[in-house]
Amino acid sequence: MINKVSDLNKSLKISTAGMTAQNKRMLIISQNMANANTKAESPDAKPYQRKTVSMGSQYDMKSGVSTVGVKSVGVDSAPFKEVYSPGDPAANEKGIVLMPNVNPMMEMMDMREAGLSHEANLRAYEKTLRMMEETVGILKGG
Amino acid sequence: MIGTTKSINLLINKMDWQVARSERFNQNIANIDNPGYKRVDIAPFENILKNMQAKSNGSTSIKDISSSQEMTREGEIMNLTETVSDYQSNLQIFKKYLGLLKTVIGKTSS
Repeated sequence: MINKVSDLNKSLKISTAGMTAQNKRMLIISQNMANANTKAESPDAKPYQRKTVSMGSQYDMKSGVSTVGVKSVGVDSAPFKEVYSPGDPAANEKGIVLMPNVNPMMEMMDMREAGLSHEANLRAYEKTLRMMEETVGILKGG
Repeated sequence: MIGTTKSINLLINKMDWQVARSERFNQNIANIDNPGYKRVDIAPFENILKNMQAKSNGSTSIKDISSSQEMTREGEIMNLTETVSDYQSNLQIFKKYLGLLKTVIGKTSS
C-alpha cells in the first residue's frame, strides 16, 4: 500500500506543476491586458510588445517524474497597430502613433482557456487526493 | 485461504494498475496546453493478467503506450473519474478481506 501512496504523491506533483504553469500563463496574459494601451513614449521608441508563453515538459530529478512548466516567454512579432493621432507626443511626422499588438478579445479567450485548464488540474488533484485519503484510511479504520 | 490469497493478489495488482493509470491521466491533464505532448496511457490489464498466469506470481509490469487519440480536458477527467471510482470499489473489497482475516485470526487465537 505504501508504494501506492508514493505513486499517488507523484500524481499530485504533476497536477500541481500543471496548475503552476497555468498560473504563470495567466500572469503573462494579465500583463498583456494591462498594457493593451501602452504606447511608445517617443516617436522612435516601440510600444509594448505582446508576450507569448510556451509550455514544455520538464523532468523533475528529485522525484523522477516528468512534469509540465512554462518553457519560455517570448514576444509576438506581429506588426503594431497604427493609429492616426497628430496631436500625440509619440506621433511621427505623418501623425501616426504605434499601439501595442495586443488584441484584448484574444487575451480574454486565452485567459478563459488557462482558467479551464487550471480547473481541470484542480479536479484531477482533488480526485487523486481522495484516492490517497481512502488508501491511508484503511490503515486506521481496518 | 489459498484461493483467497490468489484473488487478493489479483486485486492488489489491479489496484496498482489503476494507480498507474490515474497517474498517466493526471499527466495528460497537466500537459493539455503543451503543444509537443503526446497523450499517454498504459497497456490494458488483460496483458498483465496473461503475464501473471505465465509466471504464477508475477507482479504488475506497467507498460506505457502513447495513443494517437486526440485529448480533451473533459475526456481525460472522465477517464480519471472512471479509474478513481473503480479503484475505490476495489479498495472496499480489500477492506472486506482485511475484516475477514481479522475474524479468522480472532477465532483461532481465542
